[in-house]
Amino acid sequence: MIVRLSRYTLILVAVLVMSVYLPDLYWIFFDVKTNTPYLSYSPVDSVFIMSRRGDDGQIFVDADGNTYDRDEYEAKLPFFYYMQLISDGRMPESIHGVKLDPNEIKRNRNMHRIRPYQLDQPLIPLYPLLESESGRVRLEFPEEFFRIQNKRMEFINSVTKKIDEDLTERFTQALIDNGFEFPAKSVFMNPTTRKAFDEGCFIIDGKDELYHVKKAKGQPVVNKANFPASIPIRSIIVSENVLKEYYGVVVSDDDRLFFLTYDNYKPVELPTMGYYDSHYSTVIITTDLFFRQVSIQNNDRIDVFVTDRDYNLLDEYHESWKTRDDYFQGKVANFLFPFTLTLYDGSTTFVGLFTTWNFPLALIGNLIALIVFMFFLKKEERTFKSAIPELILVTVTGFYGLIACLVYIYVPLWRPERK
Amino acid sequence: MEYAVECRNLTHYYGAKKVYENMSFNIKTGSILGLLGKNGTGKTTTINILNGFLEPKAGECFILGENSQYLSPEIKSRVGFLLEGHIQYDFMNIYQIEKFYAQFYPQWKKEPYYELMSKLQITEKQKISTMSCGQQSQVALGLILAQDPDLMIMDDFSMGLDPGYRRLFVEFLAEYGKAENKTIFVTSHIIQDMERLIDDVVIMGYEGVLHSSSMEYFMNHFRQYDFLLKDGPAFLEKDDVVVNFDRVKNHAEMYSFQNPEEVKKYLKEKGIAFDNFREVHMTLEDAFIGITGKY
Amino acid sequence: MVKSIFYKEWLKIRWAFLAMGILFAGVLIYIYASVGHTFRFNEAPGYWYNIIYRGVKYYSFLQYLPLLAGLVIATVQFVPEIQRKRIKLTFHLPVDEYNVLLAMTGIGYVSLLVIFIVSALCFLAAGYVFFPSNIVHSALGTILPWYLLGLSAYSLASYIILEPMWKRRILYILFAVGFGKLFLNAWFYNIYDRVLLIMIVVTLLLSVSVIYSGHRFKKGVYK
Repeated sequence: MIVRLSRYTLILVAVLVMSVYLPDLYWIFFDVKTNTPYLSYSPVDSVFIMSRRGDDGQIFVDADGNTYDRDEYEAKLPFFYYMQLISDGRMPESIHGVKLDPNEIKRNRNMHRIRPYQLDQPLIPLYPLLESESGRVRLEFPEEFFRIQNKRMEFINSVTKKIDEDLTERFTQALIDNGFEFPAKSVFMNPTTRKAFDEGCFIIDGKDELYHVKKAKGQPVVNKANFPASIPIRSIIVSENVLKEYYGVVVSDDDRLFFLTYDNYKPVELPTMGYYDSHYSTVIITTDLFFRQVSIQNNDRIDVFVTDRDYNLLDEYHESWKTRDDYFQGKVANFLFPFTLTLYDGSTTFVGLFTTWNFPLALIGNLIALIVFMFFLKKEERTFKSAIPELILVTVTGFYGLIACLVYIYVPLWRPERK
Repeated sequence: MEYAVECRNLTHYYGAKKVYENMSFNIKTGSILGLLGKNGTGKTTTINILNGFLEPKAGECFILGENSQYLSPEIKSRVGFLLEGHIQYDFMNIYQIEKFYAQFYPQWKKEPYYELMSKLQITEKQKISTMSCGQQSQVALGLILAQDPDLMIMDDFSMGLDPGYRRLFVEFLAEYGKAENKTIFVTSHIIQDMERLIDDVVIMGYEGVLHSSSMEYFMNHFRQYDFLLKDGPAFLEKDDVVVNFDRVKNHAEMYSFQNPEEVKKYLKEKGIAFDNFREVHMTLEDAFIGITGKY
Repeated sequence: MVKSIFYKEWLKIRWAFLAMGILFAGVLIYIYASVGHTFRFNEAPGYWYNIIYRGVKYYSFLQYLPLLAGLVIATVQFVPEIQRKRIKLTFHLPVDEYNVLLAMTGIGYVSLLVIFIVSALCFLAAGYVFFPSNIVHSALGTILPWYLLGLSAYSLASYIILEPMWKRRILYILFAVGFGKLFLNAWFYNIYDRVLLIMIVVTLLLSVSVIYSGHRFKKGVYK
């Protein structure tokens, strides 16, 4: 019994290890290049223009198929390359009658990249609530970090390691006065001093209500956001920016995207048209003087939507490409490896055992492995009946199981029933 | 129990290399059997099979009535085992190792052990690994004596021993075995001292067992004859009469289990003219070389 | 009999055990001395920020220590056993062969656990002096996979050492290294939280792997 257990454990560990490393090793040698374009919307002639890696280096092309050289490309995107254009003396005075002021261009220009694993990562629930009206030019970290306990918002002083009862009491009371229900479910903030100003944090309370909490001159400022219950919040990427149009991006549980606006926290939905999956897609949201752009990147495709400043959809772009599985190398891999195990899958920062099953091609590979294993059993003069667990293992795990069973060979028990 | 050890039809291969085929031998309870053979003839293989460290391709051994592949703790406690080279837990000193083994054997007798140890020139805390080969052999032997087993299996006990220690070992074993009616199985590739020790002998060659009988029978019946070949060089093939034949120019050495008259008759039948025919007295070592050949 | 085996194993382990104990103590003292130093010479809020948001691990020195301890204990225990095939003596003891092996590894396991648990408790206690519980608990969750790796490494090293053939040993080592690497991703804290249970189960299962090699040795299977 224990001999079997030890052998099967070693076999399983070997299968596990092989299913992690062998596909990796394979792809080091045989990987195929996928070509993700980088898209922007040109305010000059209102067309998608992209840079992508061609066979002879970087190429620039628009959605209508016109190609450009680098200078032309930059000239099409003055909101992006205005520094270069000004330096070259190529910056237009105005576009479509709108006068171009570099400061305004800069103020309007924001980019938020949201990767799926950022939405699911370990966190020590201690938050620095910055002083938002310190009167100083630069933001500073406070000495106290807060945590939301069962019945209060608790401030711990990082220098003395003591709880600041005064601050705790004031903030807890302010929350309660605004109808806040302890304990909180989540806290969202942008804990950095490298920003122009501070908007504190957003907290979802025990009744799924959204609250905005700031510290101003040491005093709590608490606002209930009255955020619609129809939009269940998965995450808020808080991003203080000088445009002061929105506090950040809300990702909803049903994979929609919103700006959380300064207009009484009213959510404004960004166009995703069902292409966004917050667990797998990377989304890049950009704002500029004219447009709002949402670019959704997946493994096998990119979908881009552009709106005007009032969030009316202007244009969209869709492109898909072949993935590894569509290439010959991918088919060979699927044949050799019935499944692949990875510790990371991009949807989370946490380690997991993420399996990808490569059926149905793997079935052929598994069958071959099984036949080889049966020949081996014959050679070793073992009956199939004595090897049922191994046969099942090879059927399911194919070449991994075959290799494991050959490495950890069967050694007959030294103690059959004693007479 | 008539036999302490019974081995039947042992066959073993290492890969394609045959070690032996259909080897059988028994050890009578209370007797001392020597398994003699040159290096590489399968002595250690046999020991491994006896101790259950190797499963033979075919055949089986019974140790004190139990299949050697499945020895129970009870039987193992009645078998003393000396590893080739007197290997012991040499990270211990002589007191630690005695204390260690004592708890495993209910009939443990520490007196003979300490008696033996008192004769060694060692310090109290000296680790076994720092002792000489001879001293280590005495430790290993002492532990077996303290265990007081019914059957002792000793793998090449003479290895690495000075002549003095070797003699000591042999004399002790011989006396002890007789006095306590122990069954002893020894292997060795040094034959000199075996004569005074063993009751029965099994001689192994590269092709398997060459001879198996009592020592008495072997020493009395196995003979060497020297003679001169009158008609110049001739060669005798091995057969029922000729166990081994060797020749330097005209001088012939022949080994046989037959008496002189039979051998002379045999030579005449073969038409071989000879002169100066004489029987040569042999020690066990001479006989061993005679039967196994010099190569 | 277990007492006797314990005695023998302890004779082999004791110096390594002591050395590992001292090493763990030394590293813990070093870790908290440098934490104390950081608090004296840097801004505490910035230090907290780096720990919480940048994933700085003040205890990263601990990462390879349990692994080392596991390998060292397995080595001092099992290398003497295979030198000149001394394990034959052990198998010849009038005890069930599996039970002897399990007792031997059990003793190695327990001595590792003693070092690990005592060091983890000291780590926790000292942690509470410098940090709030949230940070200390996160640290504990982060070092747990390293400790599990120490136990796994002990089991794997034992069975690899006991394996009679080099050609197989090399394959085993390949698998073991691949397996060990799975435990050592440490770019952020607490990333193993969701697989801890699986890791514990696999580690426990591996604790009997020495039986496989012992069995091969006992059966004299050299292929």
